[in-house]
Order: sequence, then structure tokens, then C-alpha cells
Amino acid sequence: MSRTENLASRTILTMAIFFTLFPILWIGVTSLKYPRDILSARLFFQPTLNNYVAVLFGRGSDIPRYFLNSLAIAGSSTFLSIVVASLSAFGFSRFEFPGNLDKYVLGFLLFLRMLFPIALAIPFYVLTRELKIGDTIFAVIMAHTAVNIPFAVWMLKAFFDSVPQSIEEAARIDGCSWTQVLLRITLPATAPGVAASGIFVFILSWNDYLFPAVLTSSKAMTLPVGLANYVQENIVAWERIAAGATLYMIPVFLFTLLIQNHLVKGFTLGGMGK
Amino acid sequence: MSKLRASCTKYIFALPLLILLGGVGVYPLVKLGVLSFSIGMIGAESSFGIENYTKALLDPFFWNSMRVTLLFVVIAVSIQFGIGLGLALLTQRLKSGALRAILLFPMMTSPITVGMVWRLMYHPMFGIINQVLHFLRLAPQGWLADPKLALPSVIISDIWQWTAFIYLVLVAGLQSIPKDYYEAAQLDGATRWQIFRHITFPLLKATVYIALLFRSMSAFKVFGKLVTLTWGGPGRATEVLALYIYKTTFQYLEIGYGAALAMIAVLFIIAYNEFYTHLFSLRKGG
Repeated sequence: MSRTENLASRTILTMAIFFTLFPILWIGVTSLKYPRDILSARLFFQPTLNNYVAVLFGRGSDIPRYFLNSLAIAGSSTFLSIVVASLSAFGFSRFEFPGNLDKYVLGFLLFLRMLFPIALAIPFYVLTRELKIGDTIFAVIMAHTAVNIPFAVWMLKAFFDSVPQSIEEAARIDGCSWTQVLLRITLPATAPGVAASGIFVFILSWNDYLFPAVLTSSKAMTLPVGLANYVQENIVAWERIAAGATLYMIPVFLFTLLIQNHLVKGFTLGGMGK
Repeated sequence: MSKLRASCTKYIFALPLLILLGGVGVYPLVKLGVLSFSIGMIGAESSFGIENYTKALLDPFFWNSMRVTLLFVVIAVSIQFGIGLGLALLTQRLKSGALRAILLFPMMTSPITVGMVWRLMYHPMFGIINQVLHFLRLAPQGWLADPKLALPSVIISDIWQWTAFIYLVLVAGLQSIPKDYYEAAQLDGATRWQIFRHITFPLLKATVYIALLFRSMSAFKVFGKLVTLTWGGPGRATEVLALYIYKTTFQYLEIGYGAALAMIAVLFIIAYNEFYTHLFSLRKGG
């Protein structure tokens, strides 16, 4: 590649990155402004953390509680998804099932992922009312597990498929049960992939608005629902909304950097890349 | 003996998933089907019939939401594909993985936040876009208030969020084409256009189909960013299908009708998936 070409490519990629980052940075900057500076586009202004203090500790601010609910829901549904998905992905990766049971289950998982989420949210709403578990984090955990388990199973199966069978066979001959093989060989060998799948599922749950919006009303409300309500109720307090949005985005960006190499694979259900 | 145990073990591995899928997958979907035939408000369904489905056929708001969704998908995904492909071809040979990670940020951001970020960008007074227009002595626009501009404005926010997805998938596809092919073609004196036409294009086709399939399927389901951007307004100018179903069910409380619309949406997306994969003979799945 010639030098001019290289320079041109770099310039183009840099511009793309600039356009990508600009709205995020602008929100970050706005979150540090006093209301009086919001209207000015000047680069220099007196920064303040007041908006963060107001969002986190202000009287009547429920953001910390929403934050904890989001954390509990995303954490639990990720744990549940990864445990269940590890077992089944290992089973589907290592054993033949009669009557193509494994193919049908994997196909059903794709179908589940293909659905409009609202098609599950409506019956979940009715079921949680019937079971009297409305406005509990348990209801949201189960709903998120339902929509995210397809990703977990497909990603983990792709990782497990790539483990050389010879090591596992050696362990079998040495007398390991299949459960021991999974726990002592397969999972440690694919640990980075399993962690990436877990983080991916965590972010999907952390980002979801629909299910907590439908299934919770106050006690179990999560951060995205709280923020969306805040936007509708405090339409003028943009500097605070920007602070809330920034707080909400930071963990996602940290996680994104951690698992960047697996993300495209995740979005295409393990169907992309090598 | 050990063979028998192995055959038992595999079911034990699969069992938790089967129980989970039964409880939170199959059962809710059956419930949705039953709900879609029940008439009446939430908690007071009175009778049973196909009225919800016939109602949908005559519901102008439903057809409006279908039209808005199709416009959104076709325009947004085409532009994302154009930009993504151009960028991928221009920058495929750069080794800057760390920088590319930044491009992942928008698609990992919650749609709710994307809506908030762009609502602030489009704000008639505080918004940076109108501030720049003012600085350039151009007339400010009501980006989200003008019925003509609202859908294009929503589409721009989606382009910001998802173009990188197509770009990254295509870059991965381009980088998996063996270098030998290019070298051999260059030795034979092929022009750049010939190389693109006879090597890059045919070998990238499968990747393009996959990128467009996943992107369009998720674009059909767009919902979250509309919640904080426009809530379907002004009027119903940006009321996409998922949002109309949500409003019907949880705002107007017509749960049977909402369930029927959700069933129609599911049938629609299955039909689209079948049509697409048959069209490009992707049956093996990817």
C-alpha cells in the first residue's frame, strides 16, 4: 500500500471515529455544565459536578436504587444464562441426541431471538400478574434470561466446539466424569470466551428498557426506565439528564473495551469470524 | 454400563435449558396466541374470536406503523450499508484494532440513551446542530417537531448507532479473503476494478448477506430509541410497529388486540427471514 493511500485510509477512519465519539463526548461535556452555560457553545466554561451530585444524592432522586436494581437483574440473569447455557452448549457440542433434539432446540433458540421482544413482554405481563410477582426483580430476571439465553448458548457452543477433543478424551480415560471434564478442562480452556459471552449478556440485560418498563412499576424499576421517565418529567433539566446518561453509559464502555474482539461474533450469534 | 451412563448424562446437561425454555419460551408464546383471540380489556377478557385480527386489517394506525417501519428499515439499512461498505473497502488494510473498538460504543449503548443523546443534539435551542446552523447563519430546524423531518432525524440517529456493525462485519469478511488471490491477480496484471469485480465481490457476497440479514432483522424491531426521541410523534410520523403494539397494549390497554398485532409482527418477521434466506439460498444458516 502506498504512503498516500495509507494516509488517506487513516484520515477516513479518524473521521469516522470523530463522528462516532462526538455525540457521546458532547453529552459528557454538557453533564459538567451549569444550566447557564448550556446554551453557549464556548469551549471554556466553569465545570461542575453538581449535576452528578443532584442525580445521585439529590432529594427524591431514585437513581441509586434503580442502579442497584439494574445491577441485580443483569447480574442474576447473566449468572443463570451462563450456567444453563454452559451445560446445554456442552451437551450439544459433545453428544449426539436422538431425533435431532439438539438441532430443534438450537433452532428454537434462533426463533426466540428473532421474535419482536414485545411478543414475549405481553404474555410475561399477564403471567406475572397471575402469579402475583409483578414489580419484582425476579420477573425481570426470568424475562431477560428468556431473551438472552439464545446468545449465550450459541456463543458458548462455538467456543466449546473449538476445544480439541483429544484432551477431553485423555481425561475421560483417566476416569473423569463428563461433569468433571466440563468443569476442569472445557470451561478453563474457554474461560476468556465464556467471560466475553457473560459480559455480552450482561450488557444486553443492562441496556434493556422494554421488559422492566412492562414488568415493574416502582419497587423493582431499573435505570433505563427511571431515566426515560426522568426525561419525560424533567424536560428542561438537560444537564442532569446528560449526567444520568453518562453514568449509565460508563460501565458499558468499559465492558466494551474488555470484550471488543468477541462483539461482532456475539451480534451474529457466533456466526461470524473464525 | 458406561455407555448407558453417557446417554443419561447428556440429557442431564440439556435438561435445565429445556425446562427454562418451556417455562419462559414456549408457555408465554402459547399464552400470547390465546390472548390474541380474546376480546376485551386487560383482566376483563369477555369472549373469544378472530375479531382482533380482522380489526388489524382495517386499522389505519396499524398500516401507518407498517409503512413507517418499512421506510425506516429500507432507508436506514441502505445508507448504513453504503457507508459501511465504502469505509470497509477504504480502510481494510489498516492495522488499528484498538481504534476500531471505539466504533463499537454506539451499538453497545442502550437505545434509551441513544434517544436521549440525539434528543439533546436535536434540541431546538440547546442542541448543537441548531447552534451550528445559527453560527453559519442558517435557519434553525425543528428536527423532531417537524413531521417531515422527524423520521429522517430518527434514521440519522440509527445510522450513527449501527453503521459500525456493517462496517466491522465487512472488514472481518474482507480480511478473511486469502492474500494469495490478490497477489496472483496482480502478477497476472489485473486492474483494481478487475480485482474487485472478480475476487473481492464474489468472496464478500456471503458476508454481505449475513450483515444485511442481521441488521435488517434488528431494524424491524426498533423501539427503544423512539421512547426517548419522539414517542412516535409528531402525530404518528415516527410510530414504528413495535411502538404501536406497545401503546395499544399498555397505554390503551387493549391487550387482546395488542397480542394479535404482536402475533402478526412475529409472522411478518418469520416470513421476511424465510424470504430472505431463500432468496440468497442461505439455508445452511450462519
